[in-house]
Amino acid sequence: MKHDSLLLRQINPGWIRDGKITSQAFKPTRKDANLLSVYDGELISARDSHIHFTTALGYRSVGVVAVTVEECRALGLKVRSEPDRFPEHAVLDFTPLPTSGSRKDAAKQLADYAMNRDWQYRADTG
Amino acid sequence: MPSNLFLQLRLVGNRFEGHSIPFDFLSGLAPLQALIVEAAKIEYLRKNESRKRVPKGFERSIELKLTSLRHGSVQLDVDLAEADNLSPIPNQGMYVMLARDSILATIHEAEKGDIVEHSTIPKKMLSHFEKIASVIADDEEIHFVDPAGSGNGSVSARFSKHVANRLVNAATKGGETTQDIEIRGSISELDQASMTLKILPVSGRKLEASIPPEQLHDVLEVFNGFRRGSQAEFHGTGRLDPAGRVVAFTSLSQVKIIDKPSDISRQLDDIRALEHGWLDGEGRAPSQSGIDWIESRLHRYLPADLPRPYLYPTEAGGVQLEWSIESNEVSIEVDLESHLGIWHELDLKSQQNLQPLDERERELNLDQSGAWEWIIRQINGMRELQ
Repeated sequence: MKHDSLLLRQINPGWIRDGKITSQAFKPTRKDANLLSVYDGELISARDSHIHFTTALGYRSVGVVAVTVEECRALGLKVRSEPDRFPEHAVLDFTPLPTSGSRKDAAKQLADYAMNRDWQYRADTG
Repeated sequence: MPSNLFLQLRLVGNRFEGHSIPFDFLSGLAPLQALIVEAAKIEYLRKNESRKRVPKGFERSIELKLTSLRHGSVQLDVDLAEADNLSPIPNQGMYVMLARDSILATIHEAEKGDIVEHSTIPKKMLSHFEKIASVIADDEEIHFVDPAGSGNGSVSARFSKHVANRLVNAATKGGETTQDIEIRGSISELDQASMTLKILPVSGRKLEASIPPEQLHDVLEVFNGFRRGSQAEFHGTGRLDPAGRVVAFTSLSQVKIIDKPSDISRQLDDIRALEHGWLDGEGRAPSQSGIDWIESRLHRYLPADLPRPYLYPTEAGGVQLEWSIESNEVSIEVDLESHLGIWHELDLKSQQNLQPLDERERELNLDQSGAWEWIIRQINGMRELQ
């Protein structure tokens, strides 16, 4: 992945209010074991990632936002491909951040980067 | 069409002292006829086992009428205007009498607490019992007296809210209970001919209810505003399943129009509607009682001039409050069970010069007013710095 590669993140319908996404969208949940799943934007478009997420995986998403590899690494996160689940799968590895508070710091910063970059794909408008 | 004294109803309670009956009570007597008809159908089918349904016209030929209000107490005489000899249904009067006896016996057994044996009361009959109970206050009773069974008019069966609840609880084997409920929602369907409506609650299934005639104006207003998001609070009696979900609105007593749901309530209503697994198959749905709690806290403590927080569900079944105040991103992760909140703040412009985390994170007991005062001071402090 290049430093400016986009990492595509799906947004759950519960995690958007009046156009603002929650920083939780960029914080691993317990099931994630500190690995936040994203799509490698070098390998799949935002629209196609949404189709894959909602049909092949059967999950819900209102759209796709993105951060870059460089932004993640600057916050101390590791980024890598993990194509075992599907070829375009990548993860943001939060294990270098030792506390919940530091992970919240990173999540808020990433959510801000993503919203400033604007939606890469919206399900209702395309 | 001959008529004869069929039943006497003695009304007991403060409202009936002074030998008078409030009009809103009378509406609750209408289901009595439907109750008798349903019970008569059962009696008919029991005696005519080869038949699968009652003959055509069976219902039409049964009519109850209030004929007199006796002096000395509030006692109503109910006559049965029975079909005459030209009725196509032989012995129909017998089935109606059996129906009355069966209903009185059922009420009497519920009154004594023996109703467990009668746990197969048909649902239609159950709803009629509930409708009659809906017009009775907690301290009131209707004494059903069989005029033929007792020359001195002794009480045959005492019907009260408590007895109605016993009937419902015995008949609903799944452990359903009946209690006063208050639901917020919109009106998605309305039938003025039958005076019924369908409530679309902010969460849960659609609920049908009868429209109280005096509430029709407000009901129409909420119904006409359905597309604009008009909502009301619906008060009355409902049936709840063991999980506490309302499964039926048995009696609607009041409709209070909500002028405009507050931003907080609107956001929380979305969260209320979540089901387990909402987050990629994971994600606990927050409890209704937990959402009620945080809603009351937010309405009580957040001043009107404070920016409204964005409210999101959390994976663990909690709620996260978030404020964006210029470059400050504030969040409070709220545990709806322990009522603890984790405050976290980050100034996005200060990445290179961040305050230590322990100065930006704090655990708050949100049951304490002091915690909310602290939150308000912090947010106002950020606003003043802008």
